[in-house]
Amino acid sequence: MQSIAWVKTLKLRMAHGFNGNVAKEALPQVIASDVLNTLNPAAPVPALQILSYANSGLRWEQTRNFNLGINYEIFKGISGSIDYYIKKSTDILATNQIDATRGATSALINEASIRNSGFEVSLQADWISRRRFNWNTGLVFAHNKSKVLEVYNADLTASSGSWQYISGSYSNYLKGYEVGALFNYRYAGLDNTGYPLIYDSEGKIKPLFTNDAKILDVSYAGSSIPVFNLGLSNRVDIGNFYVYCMVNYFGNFKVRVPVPNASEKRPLKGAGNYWKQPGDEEIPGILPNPTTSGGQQHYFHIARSDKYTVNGAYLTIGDVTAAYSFRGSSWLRRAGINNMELKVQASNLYTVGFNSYNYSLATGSYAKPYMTPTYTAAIAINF
Amino acid sequence: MNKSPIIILLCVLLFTSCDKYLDVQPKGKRLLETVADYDAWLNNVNSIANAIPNELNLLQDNVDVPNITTPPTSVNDWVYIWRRQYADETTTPPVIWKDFYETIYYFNTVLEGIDEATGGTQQQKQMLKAEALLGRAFSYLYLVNLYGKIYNAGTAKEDLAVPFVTSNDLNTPTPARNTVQEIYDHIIADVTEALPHLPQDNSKNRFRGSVAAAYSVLARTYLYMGDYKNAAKYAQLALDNGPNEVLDYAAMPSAAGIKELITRPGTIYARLLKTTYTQYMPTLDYLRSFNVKDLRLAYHYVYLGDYTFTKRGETYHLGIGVAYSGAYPNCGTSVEEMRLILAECAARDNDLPKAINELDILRKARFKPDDYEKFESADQEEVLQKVLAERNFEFAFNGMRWFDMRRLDADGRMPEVNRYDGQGNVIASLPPHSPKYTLQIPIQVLYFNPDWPQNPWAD
Repeated sequence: MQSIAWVKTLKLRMAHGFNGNVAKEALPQVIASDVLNTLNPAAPVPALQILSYANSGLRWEQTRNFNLGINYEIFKGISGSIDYYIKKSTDILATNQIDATRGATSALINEASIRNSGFEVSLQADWISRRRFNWNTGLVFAHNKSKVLEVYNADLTASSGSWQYISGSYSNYLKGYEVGALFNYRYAGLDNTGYPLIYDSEGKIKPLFTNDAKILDVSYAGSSIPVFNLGLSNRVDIGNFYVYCMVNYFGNFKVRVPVPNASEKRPLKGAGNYWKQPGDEEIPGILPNPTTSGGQQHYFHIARSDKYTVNGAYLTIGDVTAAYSFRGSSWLRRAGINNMELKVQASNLYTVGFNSYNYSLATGSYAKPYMTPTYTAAIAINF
Repeated sequence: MNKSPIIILLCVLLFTSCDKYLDVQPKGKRLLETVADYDAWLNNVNSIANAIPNELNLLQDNVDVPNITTPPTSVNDWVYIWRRQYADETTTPPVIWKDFYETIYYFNTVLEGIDEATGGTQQQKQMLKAEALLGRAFSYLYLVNLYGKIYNAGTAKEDLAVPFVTSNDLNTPTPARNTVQEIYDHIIADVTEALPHLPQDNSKNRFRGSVAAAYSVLARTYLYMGDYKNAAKYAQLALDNGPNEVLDYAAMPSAAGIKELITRPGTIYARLLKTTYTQYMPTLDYLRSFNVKDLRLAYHYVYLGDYTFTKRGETYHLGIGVAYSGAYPNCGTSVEEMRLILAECAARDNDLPKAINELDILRKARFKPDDYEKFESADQEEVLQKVLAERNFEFAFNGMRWFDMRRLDADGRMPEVNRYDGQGNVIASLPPHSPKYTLQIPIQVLYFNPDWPQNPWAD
């Protein structure tokens, strides 16, 4: 190793660990919660109802960690680490189906398991270090993949209709998928009454909800949780003056964009572009007929289609700071002041979503496709 | 260090305010520790008061679903056509089965924990224990009559019913299916054990146990077993130890006189359907079998038209009562039921004057005095049929008819029942002595208990 001059240090780390966690939501005894029995409305009486079933077989939630890492120091002033990890959590206390003869159809038991794996790279670099001039960079890059190995999902069973997969957070924990799994209809435009069409699993077009094929009528889009995370900061010091900038990037996940809807109180731009008469279905991007029965619902459902589910990656310039310190100047000393710093800071300066809507989780809406920047000017005086 | 007085002060402030808050209205979660906790536990509404699954009403002969889909796709429709299983896969909750075992869980929790409870006297503990024994027995009476064959002294020791679960610990394995005889033995033993410790009066809350409630449950138990001598004995004991006046519709100015079940006169042991506001459509045959002057028709059904009942799906049984007064049917026991048990047992014993007298006590409370005609007959079968018909009028959509159908079927008195689609085509049949009178063990339960034998079935 000594022959490689540019490598200052290289440390290899390996760790294998084991964590236990006792959950408090379930106990060997019944946990009850207070309710009021109002069967006699004139004279309500206190009552209790079950919150958690007695279970003497509760176990610790276990997490096994495997971690392989390198700490490095290369050239002059460049250091950091690279880590790879696998984290497998088993016996996680989760709601599971149980034999209804025991008194409930589902209860909190130790049965769910989730695997997380990923790597993290961090880098700290002092590119230039002079007495009056400094430039350093900090970089953190993280990648995490999750997979639900075992869970009982009462909301999604083999008989669940396709619409249940796109409803609320039902698919957040589904066996075999990533945490935060998103499902989509395959949008196929409108028919000649303005009713939404979808592709079935064989690519044939059919009206939404016709001969519902359950999970086959939706496709897996990916996770709603970013897989990549990147943070980059730079700071340049020139004498008593410095500039600092922080950039964040989140990538490899899906996000749903709102569908403009003319029947909303404050419709989004483009809401008027909906189906009004036969033939309109040929217009690209035309929205469904909002006046059909349940028209609202169709907007809800096409919002959960591949047309309105987009790459969620986005980048924000989160923080830019410029500051000047009067430390050490003679007039400060004469005034009896230890230090005085002038600082100008801007937050949420710029956000860009890497999809055609420029839509990002950070802004949460494309009614306003940016976050409101905040600017701060400060004078800090230390006596 | 100089911060600590402030922190202590803050803590004191927080704790005092919390104490005061708790004095006013206890909220949140807790363990069952005191006798008072177990008492409040037995006041539970969702699992104890609202205990009887609505699906029982869909099994019965006098319910109609004219808008049923072809093929039927909902659980309710599957129950209505006496489908073999009410689910196609093992991950959905097993209707009916789950509801009774949920109630049983509540009572088992009392039986498992009450001895260690603090505060309260030994007598109070024994009373709560007795109430739990009674409540659990009542739930098993339903289960044994749903998943086991009707009681037959000759075969009851072999006929399989349901497992008798006594533990509330999820970690305890589910026991195997007990026989019909064993479940009945448990019911009778538990109610008998409970009797000396039950309170005399439950008039403040009829959902809670009482001596009369225990006797009334025994009366229903022996009736379902076909032991009419004991059924009559315990029906009389129930009336002697508790309320014995039937709820008098004739004395009420309107349907609004039928009040909430918890304190309703005539109620001995109260139970409600799981979902009380469900509306049921009666069959036209059933509606036409009423005397049009019968106040039960006027007080519980809407859209009666001119009382000719010619169009299916027009007339509804309104759970809450036509006056929206909370007139929900009682699935538990009542003075009316005890009177009808006495009448039936007397009729079967050929004591016709007694049977007719008991019928008279109930029926004259169901008609305005000017409309009332006393039933008279010297024919034993006619009197018995009248009693059975009266049960059908009185216990409308309270989950009891299915059990009468089973009894009548065992008696050879139950004709074939058919279900019809909107066009009047027969879509399902329940012929006499059909194995469908004993429900299948739900596949969702067999999934966890694969060794259990299934009940016989024939389509």
